[in-house]
Amino acid sequence: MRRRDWPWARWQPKRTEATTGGTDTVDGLAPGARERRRTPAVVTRNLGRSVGRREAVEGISLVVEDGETLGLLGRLGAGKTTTVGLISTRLRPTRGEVRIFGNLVSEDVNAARRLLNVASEEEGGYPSLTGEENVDFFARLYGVPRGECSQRVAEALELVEMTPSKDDRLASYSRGMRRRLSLACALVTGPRLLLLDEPTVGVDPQSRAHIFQAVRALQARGLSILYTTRDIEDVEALCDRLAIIDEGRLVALGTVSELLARSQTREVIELTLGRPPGDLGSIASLDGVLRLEFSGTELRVFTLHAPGVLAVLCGTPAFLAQPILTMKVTPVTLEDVFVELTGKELHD
Amino acid sequence: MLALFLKDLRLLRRDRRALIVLLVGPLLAIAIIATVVRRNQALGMRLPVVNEDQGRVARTFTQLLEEYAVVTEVSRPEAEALVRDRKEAAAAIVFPAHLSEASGQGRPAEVVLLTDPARGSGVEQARGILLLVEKRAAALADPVVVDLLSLREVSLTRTGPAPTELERAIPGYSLTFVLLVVVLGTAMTMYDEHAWGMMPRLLIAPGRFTSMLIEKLLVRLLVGSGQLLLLLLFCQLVLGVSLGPSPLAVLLLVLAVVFPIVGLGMLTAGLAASREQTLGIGLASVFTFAYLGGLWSPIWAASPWVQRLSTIAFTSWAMQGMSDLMLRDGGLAGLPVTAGLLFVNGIAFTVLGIALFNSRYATR
Repeated sequence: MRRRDWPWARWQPKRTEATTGGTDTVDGLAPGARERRRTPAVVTRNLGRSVGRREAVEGISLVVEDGETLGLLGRLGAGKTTTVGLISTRLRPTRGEVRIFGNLVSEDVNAARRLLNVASEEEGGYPSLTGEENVDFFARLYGVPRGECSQRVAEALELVEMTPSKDDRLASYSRGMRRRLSLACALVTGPRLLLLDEPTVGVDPQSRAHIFQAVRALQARGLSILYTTRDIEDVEALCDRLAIIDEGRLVALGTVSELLARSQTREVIELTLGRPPGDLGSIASLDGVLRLEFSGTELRVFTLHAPGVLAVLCGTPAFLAQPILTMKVTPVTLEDVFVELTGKELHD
Repeated sequence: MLALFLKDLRLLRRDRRALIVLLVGPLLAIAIIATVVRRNQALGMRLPVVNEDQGRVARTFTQLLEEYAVVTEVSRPEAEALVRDRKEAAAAIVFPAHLSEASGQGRPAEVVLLTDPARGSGVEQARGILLLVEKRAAALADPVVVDLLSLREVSLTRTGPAPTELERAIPGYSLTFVLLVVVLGTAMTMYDEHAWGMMPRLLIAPGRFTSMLIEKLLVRLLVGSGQLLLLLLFCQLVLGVSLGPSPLAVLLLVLAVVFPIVGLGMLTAGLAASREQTLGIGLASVFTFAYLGGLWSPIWAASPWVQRLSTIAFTSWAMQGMSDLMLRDGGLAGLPVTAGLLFVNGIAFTVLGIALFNSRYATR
């Protein structure tokens, strides 16, 4: 089969304004945008899953447009993998519904399964088979015609740059190589929707670069991707839109710039002091100061307008009595927004 | 090193079910075996007696035989059916008509032992009991003249010479080997899918998860059948053991025997949640079914309720099928019933095993 015949090859890259547009509605779509588009890759409505008495995820409503890459950002244990499990049909929701390219999973699970695949943090595979044999197994499992298997396998391996190691046994692969092979195993099945569950966690920089490259190639072919991560860099580099998840709930959804704009903070003043400031209360109560972060002699002041705050700040008693060693003003970052929305650091 | 030691102990302690299987299981098994195995093995043996004599000799012998075996008086056709067809007795004793009369007149007479040579230990036991009874009869205050009595053995199940010890041992040990390899192999291959992180990927593949499990079981059926067939062919070609008159019957029986064993492996996989549990439950089931099937020792040595239990154990049918084929000149004719029972058992094990496995791993 020629590359253009691959199912994902039919879907051209699409970076329309509508795709990355407003997030006024619960599913993150701009009003009226839904009608203009093709069937979304994923639609979840009020998705929930209980584990015992604990809600692993609750009320997840989101849309991944056809050809879009949506990042799902959250801390460890926030509910990202459970959400992927529910969308991938591996787990059954206790509430809500999932549609994959319009197919309601609860009605026709196989129709949904034929359209998606997952490359997860766990690098599943048969250790005594070679990389190529592992990929070939998935091609056959998903019913790729016999005559097309070898070419599809070769292309999938090439995409993740595993061709040179294809004849080595999986047992001899590094973690990064296994992760790339896992991606190839998913790709060889020709999914229109790819769920990447923390694909870069714990991998070496070289493999990370290969994975990024592969994801960009898939985006260029118009594949729809749901990308879960704990890494801001991944989101900024690869995702069209971003959903932030915390304690099983979506707390924000939009493009990076939209989320930054949604933050009350505009600028952050970062100070290194000679010694710990005594009276933080007086700083926090200054006009234009939204929040303080303090660690040792490092102080971060979140503001709406840094120059105005700085002028007043330096005159406060807490600062007059000691030297300021360094001072920097930076625009608010996605990580700052994450902390503002969840009240927690992204990494422990 | 101490850290590893403590870690492994902790892992074992956390896996409660494995701990029970590994520690309490063997104790329980020994306790059960001690309870179910008779202290006096001869008492458990069924010994049909045909009393065509209706005289003093037959009466005296029968009374003495009752002290060593479970004696039932039956007609000759019924005795033949018990030994040859129903395989409920290894041997039956016939006291022919006019035996007492001939003995009283000092004429030589013979007692007939109808045997199933395939059940060698049972036949030997019957011979031993007869010898003992003969001596006691001679020592009675009103002695029966036993010097002129002779014993004639008639094989009901085999035309040639009696099978050798090796030939008698091969069905039981072949089955034991296949039980061990196939049950543990099947259960471990199912567990490996989980251990290798493949389960989530298989679960989201189109099609039924059950179909994937069946495909895996088919491989095990093929491999197990190949192993048993190879073993039997080796016995025939190298050790000169007979496999009976029908190669097709051998092939069908091998498939029929291995199918429930694969099912038992699936059931083990369904019950076990860890590698330790897989090994523990697998070995326990292998030993139990080997014992119930009489693969190592004759089942007539067990308590009556265990003997009854053994009639529903697939291994006893498997053993019977193998013995019919290799030791009793059996061909295709006797196979359908045995193969049918094995097939039904295989279906039951497989369905139950898949259901349990699905409830543990499948989408939920």
